[in-house]
Amino acid sequence: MLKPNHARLKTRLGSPVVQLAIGLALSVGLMCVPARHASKLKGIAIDTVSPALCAVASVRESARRVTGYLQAYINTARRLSNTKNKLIELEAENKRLSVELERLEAQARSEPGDVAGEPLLQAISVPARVLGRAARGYLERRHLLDAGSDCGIDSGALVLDAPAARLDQGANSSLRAGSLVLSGGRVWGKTVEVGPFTTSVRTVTEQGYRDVVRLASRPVQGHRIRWGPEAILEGTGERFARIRRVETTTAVSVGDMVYSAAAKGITSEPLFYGRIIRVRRPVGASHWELWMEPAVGANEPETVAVMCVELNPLRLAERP
Amino acid sequence: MCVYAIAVVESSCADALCIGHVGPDLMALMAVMWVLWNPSPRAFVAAGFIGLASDLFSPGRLGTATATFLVMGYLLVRLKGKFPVQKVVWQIPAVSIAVGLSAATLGLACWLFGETSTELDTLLVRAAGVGIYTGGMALPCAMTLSWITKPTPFAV
Repeated sequence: MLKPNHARLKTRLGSPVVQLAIGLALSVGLMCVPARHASKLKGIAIDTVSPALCAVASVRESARRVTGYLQAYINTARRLSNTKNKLIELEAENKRLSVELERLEAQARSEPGDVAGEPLLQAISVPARVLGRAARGYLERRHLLDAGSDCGIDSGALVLDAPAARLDQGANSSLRAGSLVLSGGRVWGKTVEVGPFTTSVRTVTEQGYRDVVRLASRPVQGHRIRWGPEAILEGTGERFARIRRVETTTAVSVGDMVYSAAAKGITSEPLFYGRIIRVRRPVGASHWELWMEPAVGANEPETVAVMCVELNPLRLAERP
Repeated sequence: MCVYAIAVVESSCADALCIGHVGPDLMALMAVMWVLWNPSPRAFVAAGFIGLASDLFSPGRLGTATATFLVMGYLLVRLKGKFPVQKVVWQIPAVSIAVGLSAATLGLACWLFGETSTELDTLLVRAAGVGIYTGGMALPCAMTLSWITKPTPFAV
């Protein structure tokens, strides 16, 4: 009696639908398991895989170490390759420069006369700042306004004809008295007193200024400068400088250019002073009375260049 | 053994396998591949056991993955005869859809049980991502299984 029922039950249980229903019922039963029991079950499951997890973690750590080592090795190899390329480039550059040097040396040996064509004197431009009133006051307070100290001049001494402008360079920059001071390539004045750190400048229009100048007619487009006579430029303390010693037999007109004659043979281009602004011929006089407007304005420039003259080292090297 | 290996891989290499918030469901992949490659009409029972393992090794309520994998496996068994899922070309979309649906069901269950604070639409989008990602991972598995089970020309 029991056997057929058992067989029927077995057949029913073998049906996929019944198996699905049993599985779903068990799943619902699992969902109803209290959280603490579920946690225990999960803990047991995690414990079973923890040795494998440890093994995987150690393998990953080793792999990371190996990867880091390989990365470092690759980076080093890349750097080495770059350095090798750089070395090859530098060797090629070195070779090229050696060839160039040899060629220039050979050229210098074959053309010894070229050095003789070099000028004997050359102009060196020393940049300097023009000290303002506040800067001069500061230096005076610290007894650093040293121009003239070599001659026994003190800062409290009475000044009769002292130049007003002062530069922040002195003997430390190899400046000497009597050098032309240029502003924007035009003559602004001359150095008068050179101290260790500062230099006083007498501007073109200041009283006591004197220089040899050359007159030139107004330039015509495309033509070279047509030089006129040499003359003496004098500062009078007024707005314009006076030019003397130009004979009335020479043609002079307003607008003619005035260049420094002192820089002749030193600079390739003549140094510009200004323009003739007034021409007078006193009755019976044998010389013109000329007045020049300086090219540098009345305001003090911020920076200037002091033109120093020195021997050309190429010519000195040529000396036996 | 395979379940154990997959549990270890999922637990230890999840960070390496994830793309953003989406990672492959290797347990579901195994369950689907088992059902697809096993000709028995009771293959879904094994999928249920894999679901139970998934429940044990993942956070969340017990039984949800078991039920989901059982139903998914049963439906796959029923549909297997209607589509040529033995071909690799059909297996990839089958795995993608099945795993995507199971991930969506599990996400929905989590959301219903209040186990997650993520929005439902985000969970569904992630489930779709899981399905696509796992489908992509199924390709080498399906090719390997196809290559293993294919009779060689030297077979007697």
